[in-house]
Amino acid sequence: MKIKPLKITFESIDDFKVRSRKELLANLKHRKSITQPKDTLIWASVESYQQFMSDQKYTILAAIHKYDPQSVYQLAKILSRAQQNVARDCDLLAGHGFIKFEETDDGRKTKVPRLAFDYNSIEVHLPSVTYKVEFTVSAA
Amino acid sequence: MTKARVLLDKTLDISERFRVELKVFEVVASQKHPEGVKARYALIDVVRQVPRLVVDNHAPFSFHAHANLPEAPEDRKELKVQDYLEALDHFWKLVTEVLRHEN
Repeated sequence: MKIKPLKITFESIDDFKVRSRKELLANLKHRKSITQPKDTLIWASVESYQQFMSDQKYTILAAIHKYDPQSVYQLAKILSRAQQNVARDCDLLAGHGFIKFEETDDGRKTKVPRLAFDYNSIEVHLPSVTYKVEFTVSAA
Repeated sequence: MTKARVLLDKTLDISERFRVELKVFEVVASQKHPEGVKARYALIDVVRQVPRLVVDNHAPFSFHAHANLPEAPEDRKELKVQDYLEALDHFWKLVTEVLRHEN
């Protein structure tokens, strides 16, 4: 099965506002359903995305993809970073839809970080050019 | 139980801190949602992991804004709007205010 990339696209708040309004109007009228594809995240500006998406956050995604850590603690160990900082980055990545947390059913309810869906790269669709970040992790 | 049908489900990531979520569902008409449509427009504070602002509709309040989240979840300001689109427009005005104030 081909693994899809996660796509990042950009739309200003004003454009998003106008488009969502049009879509909602059409959907209410015709009772149609429009949902954002699960493999796409829309950011309001290139600057805000680039400010948010540090190398460390890309590395977290790559490590989750490659090593399938069973806890944030394990992920922090793999990355040789402080658990508290990794946990904070994971919370932000989850809040923005890059990853999700699953709870173990062993009674301890450990939060297991997982990619939001099975992707191995991120395609960033800038207005004039698209670039791809492939996940590779070198030993820490 | 009949499953709600999604009419709109979109997100916009504004900054590290804020994300907008727009969700509209077609639901079975009930006392809570007499028109059979349930809407929830939210501005999420991703850093604090809480909704900062929510506009939604359910009886007995019709469209209303929770503008003082997360501190005062019971604070509701009724919106003088006619429909889901006007409520969405009003939501964006409130979002702009929050962003101006908190960025």
